[in-house]
Amino acid sequence: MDYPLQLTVNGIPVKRIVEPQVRLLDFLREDLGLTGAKEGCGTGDCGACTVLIDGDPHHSCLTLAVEAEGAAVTTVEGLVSDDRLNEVQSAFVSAGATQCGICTPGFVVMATAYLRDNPNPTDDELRMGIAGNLCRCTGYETIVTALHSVIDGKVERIEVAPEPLELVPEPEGE
Amino acid sequence: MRRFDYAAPTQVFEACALLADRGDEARVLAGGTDLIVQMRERDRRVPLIVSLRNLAELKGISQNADGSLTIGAMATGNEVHHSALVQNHAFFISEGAELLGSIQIRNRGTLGGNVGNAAPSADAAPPLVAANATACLVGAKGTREVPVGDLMTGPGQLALEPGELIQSFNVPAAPAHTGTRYVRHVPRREMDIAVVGIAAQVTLEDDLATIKDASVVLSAVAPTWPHATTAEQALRGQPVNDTTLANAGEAAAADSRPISDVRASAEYRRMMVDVYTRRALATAIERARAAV
Amino acid sequence: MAKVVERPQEKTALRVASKPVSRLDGIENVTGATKFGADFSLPGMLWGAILRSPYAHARIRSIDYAKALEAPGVVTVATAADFDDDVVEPTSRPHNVFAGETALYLGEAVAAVAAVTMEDAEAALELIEVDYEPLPHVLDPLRAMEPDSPVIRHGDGGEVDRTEMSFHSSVASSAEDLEESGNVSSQVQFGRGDIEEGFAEADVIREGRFTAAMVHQTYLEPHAALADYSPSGDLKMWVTSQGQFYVRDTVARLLKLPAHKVIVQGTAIGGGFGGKMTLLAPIPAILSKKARKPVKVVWSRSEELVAANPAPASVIDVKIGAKRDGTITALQGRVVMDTGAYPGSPMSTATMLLGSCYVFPNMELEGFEVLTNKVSVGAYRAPGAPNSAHAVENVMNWVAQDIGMDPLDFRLKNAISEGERWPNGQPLPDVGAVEVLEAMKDHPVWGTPLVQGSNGKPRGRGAAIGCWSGGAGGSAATIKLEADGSFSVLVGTINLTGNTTSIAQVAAEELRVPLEYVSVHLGDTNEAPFGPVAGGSQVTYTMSLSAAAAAQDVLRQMKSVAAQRLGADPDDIEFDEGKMWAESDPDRYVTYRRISDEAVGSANGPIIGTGHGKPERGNPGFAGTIADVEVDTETGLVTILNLVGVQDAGFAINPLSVKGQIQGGTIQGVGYALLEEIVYDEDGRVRNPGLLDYRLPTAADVPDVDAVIVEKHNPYGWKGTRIVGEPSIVPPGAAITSAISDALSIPLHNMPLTPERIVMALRDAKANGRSNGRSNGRPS
Repeated sequence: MDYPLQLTVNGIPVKRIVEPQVRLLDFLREDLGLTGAKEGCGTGDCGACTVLIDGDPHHSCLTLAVEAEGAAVTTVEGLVSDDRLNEVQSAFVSAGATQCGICTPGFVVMATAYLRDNPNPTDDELRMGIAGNLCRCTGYETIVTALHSVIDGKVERIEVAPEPLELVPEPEGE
Repeated sequence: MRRFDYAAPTQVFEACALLADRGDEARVLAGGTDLIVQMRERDRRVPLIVSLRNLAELKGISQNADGSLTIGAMATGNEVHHSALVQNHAFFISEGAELLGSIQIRNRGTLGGNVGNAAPSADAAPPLVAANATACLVGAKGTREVPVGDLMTGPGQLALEPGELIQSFNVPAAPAHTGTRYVRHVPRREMDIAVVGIAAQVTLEDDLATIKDASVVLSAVAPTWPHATTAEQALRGQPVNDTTLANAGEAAAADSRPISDVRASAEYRRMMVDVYTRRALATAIERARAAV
Repeated sequence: MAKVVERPQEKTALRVASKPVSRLDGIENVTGATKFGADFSLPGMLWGAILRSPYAHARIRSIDYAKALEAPGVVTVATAADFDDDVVEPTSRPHNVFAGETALYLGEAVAAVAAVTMEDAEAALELIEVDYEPLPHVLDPLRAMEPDSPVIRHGDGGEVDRTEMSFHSSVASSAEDLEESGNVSSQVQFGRGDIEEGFAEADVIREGRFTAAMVHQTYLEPHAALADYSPSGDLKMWVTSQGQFYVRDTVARLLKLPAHKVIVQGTAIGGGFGGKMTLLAPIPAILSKKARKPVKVVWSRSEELVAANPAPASVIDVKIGAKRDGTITALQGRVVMDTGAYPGSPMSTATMLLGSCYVFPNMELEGFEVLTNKVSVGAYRAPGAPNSAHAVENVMNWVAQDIGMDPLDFRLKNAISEGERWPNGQPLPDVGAVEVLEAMKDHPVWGTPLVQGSNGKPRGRGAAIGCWSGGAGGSAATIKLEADGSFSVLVGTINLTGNTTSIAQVAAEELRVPLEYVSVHLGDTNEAPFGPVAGGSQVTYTMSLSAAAAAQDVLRQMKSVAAQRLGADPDDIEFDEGKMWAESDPDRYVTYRRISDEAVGSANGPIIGTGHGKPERGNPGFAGTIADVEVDTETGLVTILNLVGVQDAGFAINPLSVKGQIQGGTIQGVGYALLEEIVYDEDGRVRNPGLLDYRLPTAADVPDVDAVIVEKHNPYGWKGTRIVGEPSIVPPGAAITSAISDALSIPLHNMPLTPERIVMALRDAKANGRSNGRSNGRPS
């Protein structure tokens, strides 16, 4: 059975025909080519597929695409604005909070929503808040450090595009 | 996942008619945090999914004129957890809802789904049972009220008529000097399934030193969410002290009927019922004393 | 707070190396731009799904997939019959893509389907008719060693394939591969001195039998591979693997294709930890070859937990004797390692490592690798070493306590050092065991006595060390000078641990330019020079040498161009910050950009440097852990109060990355110690095939790790670099279990120490009248 689906993804209206068994995760990755959300477990236990639905973090692996009818979906690809990373993304880069990087998109989306809703958590509250996202590489310390730097307002948003290189001017007369 | 048909009716009667019509072929989709996982296991064939997402009657949390609280079956874990109405009314319902997986799970998983999934290890259901909540069931013949404690008949089994849905839960107002607590044992602090869960509601006499009434409901140590009736008897009329709590813990352990599985042995579970019954009661009593 | 033991006088001259640098791929990672294995797709691509044995041990009488081929969307089906006998080593897991005559574990692949959609492929699996004849099975390695046990057979024998283990360790350990008689597939022995005399000299002897559970590497990215077989016979693959050349060689052999026709592009890898080599790649390869269409296969998490290659369970007996003055006199050890259905476990390494941290004048070690009807095991970060350290280090702490000596002083008195020999007779280069122990002693956590809390929950402290030999493979790199004076480095080793950033640092250091002037690119197996498997902690160790050599080659060519332009002798050319000049005339210079221009137009041609590297030898890395814990004795729940991870990195090219490795490895050790365990039922079925019941620590379960980098110069590495990735996982399991044992004043013998195991151990101790008054393992 085909089902008409309308929603917005990262601010862009999307209209597609989908089969009901297609998960939002598959729809984003396979139909729209937004591969930022990852499948780490498919059972809602690792958080790698986290996206925002109407602003709230959800597992896209446990959400049928048809259940997102009419919703505004934001994926990790939608967090960059004005050619700058958001604060959580910037803090992750600076603190060395990504190692292999597979859990990073889910973590970044989750932490962005969590800190928006809880701007001043204690360390323990913060750790409980992100406990639905598993990371196997970092031991979480650099992730927690990065998020504390956001909480402390110490993060400058990183520009995405690199600057052209000019190390040494050509000698005069060349 | 296997292919299936999908309907998201906007009227409760439509949903009930679909369910009645398709019988065992249809499954209700609330938040999907259990159902989608089950359906991805290949042996689970579900020809029709009936989504409840468009049913306004199943949403929201409100206080009634008689002081009772109505919680819609589609209220999500986070809505129930953060609701000031729920927290003021029966704190342990908020506590149980907070334990439904992670924040992401709580944004999808619903109170009705946690009850409807009928897992012995449910975290949000036992507080409803302990608070003497009723479920409002809606079907072709109209609505009826059933105590939540009578709803579950075994693992995965609910006493629903064909075509019936859980519309909401009604939680009566607790007497004065009542405190509640839901606590569970898990190896990790988050993202886990209860090895043992205890919902306790304690009402004290005006002296705040004697137990007037107590409700102790068990999770993950029986085929359903039973009252630990011997423990409840051991508490009523007793002074608040360590002996009373110790007796209640032992009695609750004896009341439990745990099995051994990958999460724990029956023996360990029984020991934990003792420990956590004492701990749940101690906190509930503390809260009863602090309550207005 | 991490502390880096600086050696300022040597480091001030450095511009990029030894500086903490955040990963060059950081921005791609946080924006979702990084492409991992499952992120690659092609037009017209099919999806593959795998049929798995429902029996732990069964003869396969026949497979009939005619009905599956007729199902909607199905294009092809593959089975063991699609591989020629002469390419399959019977005892090699990577070669046995599908079960042949016999399925040896529940979950072993039996067939695979390629279809237009995943739904079609999965539905078709049910239409494949397999006639199984169930055989008796054995799951427990000790039971499997008994003469009347069911026996596991692999076709007609053949060479045991130990390739994957060899990536991780450069140390020879002469395990004897046995003719398959019974289920012991290999056996090893190490001896020294006179063991009976050694124990006779001892004033204190302690011993114990230690078990460690089967655990999973649990990289968050499941296996994924995409294969595209073209009409011309080229097989292009995108694979998430730790070794793209190893994948290439395995696939080429199995499909009987020339190596240069199999072109493997390693993707970004979502964690590997030793477990991601070639398990999956041959399946999409054969499906694509049969279908003549691109085929993608992605494993589910349950397939990972049931059918990948987890780390082995073991039963280890250790007995240590020492004199009152703290001199160790004897070590006896016996390792039984459960290798699952195929040989290839780290049994011999684990056995040898029992005697690798201290000087044992008398020693008797033996090890047995035992086949069972479970999934076969693979490498996991310092394979086998956490199991060994768990046994030895707990006994070391008991002995220290019995003789009344500080456990670190006891270790220092016996610590192994340069010139001493490992059990295999190999003399050691200058290792950092002593330096690691001294850094642990100096750490404020060790210096502060453990204070019992007021909540009635006993606290304990544990310390342990461990080591890992590591790999020392050969590698190559090429570096091009680009038109604007920047440099691109081409490598063939995937970026597992941030090694790309370290390689860029090495190149920038040698070329004397800022890091922004260097980029590192992973080429496919036809483009890139050979790079070793990213395992055995060897990538940065060897690639830093080849990157430095390539940079020197580039500089030599650049100097020649610069010399011509400046009218100077190439030997007199100086360079820095993107320009070259003659020593005699520092005011006239030529920029790297200009050198690039000149070279392209000259007889020299574009500048491309090549470098080869291979460390002269491996040099083991040592690590240590201090753990303080608090135990809820009613529930068995453990809270870790302090966790200190110390590691000798030789020379930390990127301290941020080294710190990250120490933190990550230490927290994986927490999983070993407290949470992780693959559990089987009596039919051989995994009972916890998901991340709900296979429990990784979450952010809420772990403390910060105080990561301390020790730098003991390694003469064989670039600027003293040593292996880094693996050692940090070795001691934490031992330290944490030892701390729990200290808190409860009872000996404990299992990993993981789940809440239930702790409660039951306490109950048993009480029943036996042991344990009550607690005694800290350290003299106060």
